Amino acid sequence: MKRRIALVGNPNSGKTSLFNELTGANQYVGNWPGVTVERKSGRLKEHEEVELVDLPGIYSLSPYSPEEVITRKYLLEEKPDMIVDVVDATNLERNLYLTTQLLEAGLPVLVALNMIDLAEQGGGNVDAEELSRRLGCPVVKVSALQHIGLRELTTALLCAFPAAPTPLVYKRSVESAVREIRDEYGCTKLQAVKMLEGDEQALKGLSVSQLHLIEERRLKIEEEEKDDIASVIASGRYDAICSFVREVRKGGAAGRESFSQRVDRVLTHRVWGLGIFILVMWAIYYISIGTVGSWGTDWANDVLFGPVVGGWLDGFVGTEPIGAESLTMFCAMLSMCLLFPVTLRRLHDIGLNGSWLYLAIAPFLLEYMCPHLLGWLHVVVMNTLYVVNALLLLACLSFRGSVHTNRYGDVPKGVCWHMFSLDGRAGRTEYIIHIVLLSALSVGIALLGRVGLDCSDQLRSLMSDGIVAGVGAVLGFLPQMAVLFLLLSLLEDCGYMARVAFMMDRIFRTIGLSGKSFIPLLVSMGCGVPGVMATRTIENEKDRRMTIMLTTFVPCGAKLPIIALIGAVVGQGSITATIAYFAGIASVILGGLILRKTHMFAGGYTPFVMELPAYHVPRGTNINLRAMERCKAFVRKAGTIIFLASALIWFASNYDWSLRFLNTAEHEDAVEQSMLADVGHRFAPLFAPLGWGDWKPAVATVTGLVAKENVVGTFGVLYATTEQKGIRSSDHAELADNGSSVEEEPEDEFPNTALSLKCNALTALSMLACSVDPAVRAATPSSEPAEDDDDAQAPGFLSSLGQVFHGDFSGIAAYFFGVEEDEETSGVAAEIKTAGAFSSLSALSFMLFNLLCAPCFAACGAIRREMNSGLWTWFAIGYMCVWAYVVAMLVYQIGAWVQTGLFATGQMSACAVGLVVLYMLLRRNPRKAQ
Amino acid sequence: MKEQENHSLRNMGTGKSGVVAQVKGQGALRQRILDMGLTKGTEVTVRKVAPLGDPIEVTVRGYELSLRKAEAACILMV
Repeated sequence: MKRRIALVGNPNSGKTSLFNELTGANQYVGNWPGVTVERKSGRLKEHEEVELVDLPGIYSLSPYSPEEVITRKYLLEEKPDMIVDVVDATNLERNLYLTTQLLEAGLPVLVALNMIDLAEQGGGNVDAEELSRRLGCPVVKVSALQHIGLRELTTALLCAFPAAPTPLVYKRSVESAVREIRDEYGCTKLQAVKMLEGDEQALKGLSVSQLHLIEERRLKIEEEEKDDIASVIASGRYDAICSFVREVRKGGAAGRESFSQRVDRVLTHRVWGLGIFILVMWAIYYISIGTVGSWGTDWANDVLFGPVVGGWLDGFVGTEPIGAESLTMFCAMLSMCLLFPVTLRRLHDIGLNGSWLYLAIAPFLLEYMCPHLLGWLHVVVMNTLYVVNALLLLACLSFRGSVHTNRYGDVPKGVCWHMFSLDGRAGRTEYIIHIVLLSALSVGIALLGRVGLDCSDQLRSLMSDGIVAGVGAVLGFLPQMAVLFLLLSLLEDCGYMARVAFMMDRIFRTIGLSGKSFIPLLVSMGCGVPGVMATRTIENEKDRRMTIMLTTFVPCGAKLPIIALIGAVVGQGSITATIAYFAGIASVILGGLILRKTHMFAGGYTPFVMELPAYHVPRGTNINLRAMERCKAFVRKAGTIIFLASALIWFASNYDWSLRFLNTAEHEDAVEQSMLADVGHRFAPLFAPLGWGDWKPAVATVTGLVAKENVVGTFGVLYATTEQKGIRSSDHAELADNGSSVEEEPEDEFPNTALSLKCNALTALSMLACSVDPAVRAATPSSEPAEDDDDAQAPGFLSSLGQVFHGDFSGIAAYFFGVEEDEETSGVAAEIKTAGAFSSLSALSFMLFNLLCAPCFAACGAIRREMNSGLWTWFAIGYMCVWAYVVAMLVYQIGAWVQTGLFATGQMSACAVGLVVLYMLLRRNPRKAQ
Repeated sequence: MKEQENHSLRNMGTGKSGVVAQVKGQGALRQRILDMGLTKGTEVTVRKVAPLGDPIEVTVRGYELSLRKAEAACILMV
């Protein structure tokens, strides 16, 4: 018989951890209230017939927040066979409040006292039998993390029992009124209470006289208790719970809280709190965007998608067979990727943590990414790593493993598709078979690189210019993403994120958001994709949607080349960059204000009554799972949306309407005959009010949708004269080849093209830099000689900081966002200037449009995923495009008016649009007007 | 009325404890505050004020809760 069991409980009570333990699924778990956004279901381990549903965490069954509505709807309408109420045993009072409501719903309830190990630390004791007697429902003590009581819980889940009579928790007058209503309507106690409270949903369909009768009862109670009904009912529940808890909990259980409070005294200190926060954020950027992440990304771009994958592909479809070294490398990488899931399962199977797999990546990291950092130590570390890895492999091959220690359960076994999935078990025999088969498979695939199918130019061009360039450009970000996700997960898991929201709330309240929106915006300065994904942590749905719509206004790393290019064209790099950042931040604020007043978001005031969960030591498995889940989503997107989009753009730019192949890789000027150019011609008039009605910028804007870096690359192609061949930013190998010829370009004419910001929106960072001034000054001389050469893969951090004191921001900007003083940019800028395509004003409007309009496909995909609705996605993208259009138009038309003094149709329409925007900004909030 | 407001949670100093007398306001906000355990007769301790001066952190029923000053003003103390 099939059974459906719902997991319900307070946010952060460990529902998802318990769900993972019971089903063997790997959902993310966070020390942050509100991690489960939508409900998830899975099958009970070893009992396939039982379906478990993980519902969003809620504090109560009131109909106010969307999470509460989802849960209440599910419980009342779909009526699961049983409710498992997950109760945080360290915080009985507040958690049992929900329990009292669940018991009234008329369904069988089982209480799981989670985190019992923490609650009973230091000699405390929770009397489960007493609690069970008081509540009238079974109570099981469990700990999802310490694997306590899971067997008992599973057994309890399997036997059905009827719903128990609810305990009497309210004042006598309330209880009698509730009984009367129940007798009259034959409903559950929960519904009766809701009717008494005047809940609209519960009262639906009642006649006027019936409503009147209920109203009378309510007034009678309110008069008797001299308090209003909501307060009477809530107090009644809490008072009853207090008396339960007094009987049930004995001694102890104070240690954990005082630890949390001690930590908090430092981390959210009135004075140092913000400083520590900036330091933490800076450290995250330093590690993920700056050092480790950028080594990885450089390696992925220069090695992996260059000679290794690119070389293999050239060998496969071209005539030039892949070299031996690249071949070995390709083979090794492929087998590593293929063996990753099964090894992870195998490690769990023999009782080891999945984190051990980092050791397998470590030699790569050291060998290719930072060989210069270690010197002689390098050899020792490398050899140690190899030995440890060998031992690990030996352990995987020799131990038998046991089912009990494996989090994935005993379900799918055998050599089949499961070897690519992360579920199921990997026994010793299967593991050996997998190793043999997958190694053979990867050797086979690698050897295809020597085949040399002499296929047509078209296929080769599609493969290397279309797909590898497009997908590779996105996947190249994966190392940075992975490190960033890992660190953010760490912060979420230990409980710091809630404190960040606490500290930042004051700022975001002004635009109607809460402090929780800060993290996505901050992350978006690196890349919009994780930024959009970081909105997951915002529990309120309206706030989350609004943050998603605003977060890509912040200029991300990929938009910096555009800023640099336009800076060079205008000839005022620092002012341009300042405008860019200012426009981004202003768009967030103004866009937020406008959205808040629209119909959809006019939910008025969302309360910021937020639990600050206790700190705890982060757990490796949790962090890994969460980071991996996010990486998987990122890769999946690169594999689907971006794959299709890059193929499409390649097709449009390489064929004309009669489907004749143009081969733009070899004849770059041929692009003018392509479909893309034609479409550009048709769409160009649309951009005429913005001052750049030529087809070339229009096409560049379109290609910018694949990746914003492409804007510069496309300009390079489109504005290149036949002698000066443009360089594509996505094609690194080509860039390296042409580097020497490009250097002859008059780059001195545009000194400091890339972001020489003397002061800009990133003042926070420079403030930080100033605060560590003495330390930096002391450290700079010793570190500078080593960082001297321009070709150093990661520009030295200390020297970058040092540059700040010389009033030059470019170093630190380059450092943080990977924008280097680029010969390519200044070359393209020179070509654009010669072509005379842009005035300063139209260049500015072009930049603003491209910064603010729809983000790249990767980010659009992320928006689609997080919005979980096509309509919302299109609305978000449309909103951004309209906003970008309006801003660019206002800037161009008003600017032209100021410059020339002419007031024509363009200016008139700009003024009209400006007035509309002003109206949207200043009108009264429709919700408040009611 | 004035006097009442002076006795709200908002105006309680950091580190001070008090007992809730009444929760004002209406709708979602009020229900939320009640649901979180700030009911009549509950003891509350103000732990700290956020660096930028707005949300405050209180301890109630053995856990940490953050709420904005505007919300704290709805909670009248004895």
